[in-house]
Amino acid sequence: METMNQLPKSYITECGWLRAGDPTDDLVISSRIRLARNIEGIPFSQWASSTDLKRIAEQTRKAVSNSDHLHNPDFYAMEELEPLDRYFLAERNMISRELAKSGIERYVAISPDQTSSVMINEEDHLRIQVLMAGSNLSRVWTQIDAVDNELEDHLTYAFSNQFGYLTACPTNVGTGIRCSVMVHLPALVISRRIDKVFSAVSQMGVAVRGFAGEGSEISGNLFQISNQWTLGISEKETIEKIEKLLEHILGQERKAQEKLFEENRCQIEDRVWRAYATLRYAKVISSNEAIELFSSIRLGLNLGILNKPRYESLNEMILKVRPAHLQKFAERAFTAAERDEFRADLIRRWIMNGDS
Amino acid sequence: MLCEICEKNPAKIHITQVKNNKKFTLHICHECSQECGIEGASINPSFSVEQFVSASKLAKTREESAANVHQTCPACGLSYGAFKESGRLGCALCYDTFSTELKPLLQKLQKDVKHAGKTPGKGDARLILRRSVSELRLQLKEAVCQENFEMAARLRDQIRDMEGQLSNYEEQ
Ligand SMILES: [Zn+2]
Ligand SMILES: [Zn+2]
Repeated sequence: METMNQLPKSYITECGWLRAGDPTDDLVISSRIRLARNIEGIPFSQWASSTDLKRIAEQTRKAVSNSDHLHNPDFYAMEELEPLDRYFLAERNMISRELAKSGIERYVAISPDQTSSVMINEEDHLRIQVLMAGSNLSRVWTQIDAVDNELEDHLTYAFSNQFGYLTACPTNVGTGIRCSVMVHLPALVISRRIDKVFSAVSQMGVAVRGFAGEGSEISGNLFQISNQWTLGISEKETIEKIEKLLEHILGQERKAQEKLFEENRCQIEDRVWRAYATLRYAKVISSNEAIELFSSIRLGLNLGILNKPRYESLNEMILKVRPAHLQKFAERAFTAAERDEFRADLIRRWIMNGDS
Repeated sequence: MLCEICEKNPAKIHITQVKNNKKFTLHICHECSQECGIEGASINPSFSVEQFVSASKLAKTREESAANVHQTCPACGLSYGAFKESGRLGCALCYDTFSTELKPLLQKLQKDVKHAGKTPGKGDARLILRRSVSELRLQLKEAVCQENFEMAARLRDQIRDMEGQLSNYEEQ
């Protein structure tokens, strides 16, 4: 397996994991699971010597290239990738922001369909991740469990019967699992019921975070639901719990949408069409504004006010308007002002082409 | 003679307990005895004295003895203080080293302190044995801390047994 120092051109136009799973989901954008693993007998990455880090990389690389479920993954050294390419991968959720900051002996292996990746020498020696569109935790688990088992044939993981898989941070120890589902909940936000719904779930070992756009501000009514407990609970129970809560939250959102539309039909229609008009005609749009407007478009689709674009296409646009994606697409660096112009231009053409 | 808990330091404290006409003897080092809050000085009448110094627990809570921030992990050199600062452990062995300190923390953070998920499926007998030994060692320490010397002696014998099996593997 060769190390590549450039992302393939196809990455720019094809958001692999957005096509896998269920891209037509009206409220759920994506489902992700990651597993934290360490190799026995070597200190955790932060305390490992450069020789240790090299050993980890070599062993993992061999294991990864032998995995049938990763289908001959591409292998990238963070040191050799351009910063723009690293941030592009981070925007697409295929590597963490932490890994994107680079450093020696840090790698990522990515499956050709872009759904599965293995980060090497992040906080833990291995961070295995599988990502698919829509509400798909069970399918994601089947894939990641298979990858994990295959890697284990070649690696000896640090494990104890008492504490399970041993990780650098005690918040990951045990199963090392983090399941995250990204959902769009506009009606719960508009009707100010979101906090009530979330405080009910926070006591059950589950956390809900706003989706952070360019700043740390919550944007686009997007939220990430993820498990907090990793010890004393099995992977299956964890997934079932998230799925159950998800169902509950989505039910609340649908009810809130119905009520909102019944009571404030004109305001909601106005909101949707204003968003549409702005996206159709604006000459300058920031990343955060775009994400907010896309939220209203999605609500319009949910309520049948709009019948296009397709959800899949909308999901892709949420990624494509982000800074690193825009610059990769344009094949040049931008000033902030140029970026907002180029973004508006891209969105205008997308809306005019009906769906693209 | 080496300490029967850590197998690193020379055993300086010898504990004997007689229960139901059976005698249990344990030999432990100064460091391990301190961690458990056991001192060789005072004499508890329920222990037979013989040539051994008996042990008794100081009127010290487990909590206090657990707050042993000066302890460092023998494998990676991380101190508990450094862990508390960064929130990150240094290596897998840190979980053994700081298990007394970690348990109350995990109790707060997690659903429970016992793993309930998948286990590595590999049938490497040596590996499984090594893991069991390190876990029994933790239980041994806990038994000594709770002054359950009968249990401690039984665990010690079990560990000896397993270590015998392990060295058999190494010879093969
Ligand atoms: Zn000792
Ligand atoms: Zn350590």
